[in-house]
Amino acid sequence: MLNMIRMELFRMFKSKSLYIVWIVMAVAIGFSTYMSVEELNMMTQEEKQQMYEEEQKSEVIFGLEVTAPTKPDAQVSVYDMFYANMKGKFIALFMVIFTVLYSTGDISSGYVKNIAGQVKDRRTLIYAKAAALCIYTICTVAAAVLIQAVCNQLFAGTVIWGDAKAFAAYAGVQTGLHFAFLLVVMCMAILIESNVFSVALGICICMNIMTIIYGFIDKMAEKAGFENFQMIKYTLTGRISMLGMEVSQKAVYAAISVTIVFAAAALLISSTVFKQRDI
Amino acid sequence: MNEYLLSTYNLTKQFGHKKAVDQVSIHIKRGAIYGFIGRNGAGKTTFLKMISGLAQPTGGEIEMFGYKGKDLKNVRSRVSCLIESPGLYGNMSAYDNLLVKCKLFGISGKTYIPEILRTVGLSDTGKKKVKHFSLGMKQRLGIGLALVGEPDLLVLDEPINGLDPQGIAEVRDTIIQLQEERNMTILISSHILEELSKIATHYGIIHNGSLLQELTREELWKRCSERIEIILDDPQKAIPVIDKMGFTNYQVVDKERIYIYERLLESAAVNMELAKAGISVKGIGITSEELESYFLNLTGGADNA
Repeated sequence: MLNMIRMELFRMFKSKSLYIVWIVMAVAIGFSTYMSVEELNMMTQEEKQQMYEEEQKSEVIFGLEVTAPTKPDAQVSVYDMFYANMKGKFIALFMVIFTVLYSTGDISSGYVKNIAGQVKDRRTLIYAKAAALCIYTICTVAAAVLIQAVCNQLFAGTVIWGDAKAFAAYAGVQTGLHFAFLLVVMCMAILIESNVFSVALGICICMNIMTIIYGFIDKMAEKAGFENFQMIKYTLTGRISMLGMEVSQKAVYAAISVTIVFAAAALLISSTVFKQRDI
Repeated sequence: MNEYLLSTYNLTKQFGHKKAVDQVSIHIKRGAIYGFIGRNGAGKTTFLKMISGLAQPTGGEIEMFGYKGKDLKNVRSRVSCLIESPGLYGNMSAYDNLLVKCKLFGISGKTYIPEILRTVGLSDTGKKKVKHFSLGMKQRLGIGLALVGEPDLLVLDEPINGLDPQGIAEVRDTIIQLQEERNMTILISSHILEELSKIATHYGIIHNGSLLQELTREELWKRCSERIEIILDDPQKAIPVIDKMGFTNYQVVDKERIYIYERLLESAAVNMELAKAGISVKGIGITSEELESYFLNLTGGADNA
């Protein structure tokens, strides 16, 4: 198993798409930081207050939105912008694209034919990919933090990290949620066997297209007597968007529960399908 | 100890109502180069995929290295394959492609990979990306990948497909070298019998998913070699005459034909002796058969090709 993980990590860090996606992500973070800082600079104190209050509502909307949660009288911090990008699933968007390319890379190139028949249990190849994606998630979140710091220095003229403890807790929980989300994306890519459809679906999910379905489920639940039921609370994308800057213990437990359920289901489905399917 | 390294028993693969492989039973001895011949769509690739662990059989059984059923997983690592086109990472060099698989087997690549590259004649490719390789080079790298982990059974599916004569010769030399130097058992498929005949020691002929024949190289050559062909009503009556003339290397092929494989210049004398014995001969002459026409006749003629 360890050898498989080594193989997957080697393949991952050798793939050009990893670095291209990271570079594009860095540019996008730079762009969002520049736009946010510019917007804040042009706003009056009242407008800043209004934007801050809007942001605090934590509603999940359709589409991509990056709004800095900076208090009207404060300077934009690294944590503010990292939070805004994470919440808007801006980082997840790039991670999804790479995950699809990476998780189907061995299948689409045909390389899998060289190895799949020689392993004792084909499912372990999926577990190894999952382990590599875990490393990838950690690296990407760490890279996003560093890039964010550089962008803050470039566009805001200063690096203020924000509440370090809250920042670390938030980044940790988001890393778990993003990892589980990538496992779901990997599962989709393996099931669908089409990079184009998988990337498109992944992007749509990042843009909260599922809120349409969740809204329908909520109404059905309400009719069935479950008042105030919100499906989105039990989803990964919902948890990614709704996790607050001050991470409470309750929010951590909820996020961990959702992470475990989705990660386990995605791994079970993808590994079983991969084992049964002819190559 | 079982004399066969690989045996299949009524191995079957069914897709819906269509049987791609229908109860195929083959037997491969250790150290053999087993040529698996069949036309396009005969079921060769599906069969080889099942042997290589890439596809699940829907019926029958595989026995390898004395293991079968669920125990097969214990010897899966000893079977390596190159199925259809070689699966390679185009953006990596030949070295890195091999290194990926070496990591899976926990092999340090520093001295191991150059040795494989030398074996398959790709030592001088350096950092050149695989996507810039010729088809022949890719094919040889595919074989190189199959060699990682020192497999005992190498499964090659149409490794000469699409190659120019030089490429074919290179792949052929590599295969012979592997068998001679490493005593590797090789199962190789092709629809070009002429080409397989240059390397294979045993043959299995598959058609429409069914195995038609299994024979050794000697048996195949015998069937295709020059001989006196006698066509007559009752071959059994001719046997005492042929025996009396001292022939020992002959064969009653069917209800009206006898092949004699020796003293080919004596066909007139044979004809005369048969006539003396009152046996009516419909036809007699020296014949031989090209390997390809033998294969075509066996699989239903050129019309079906």
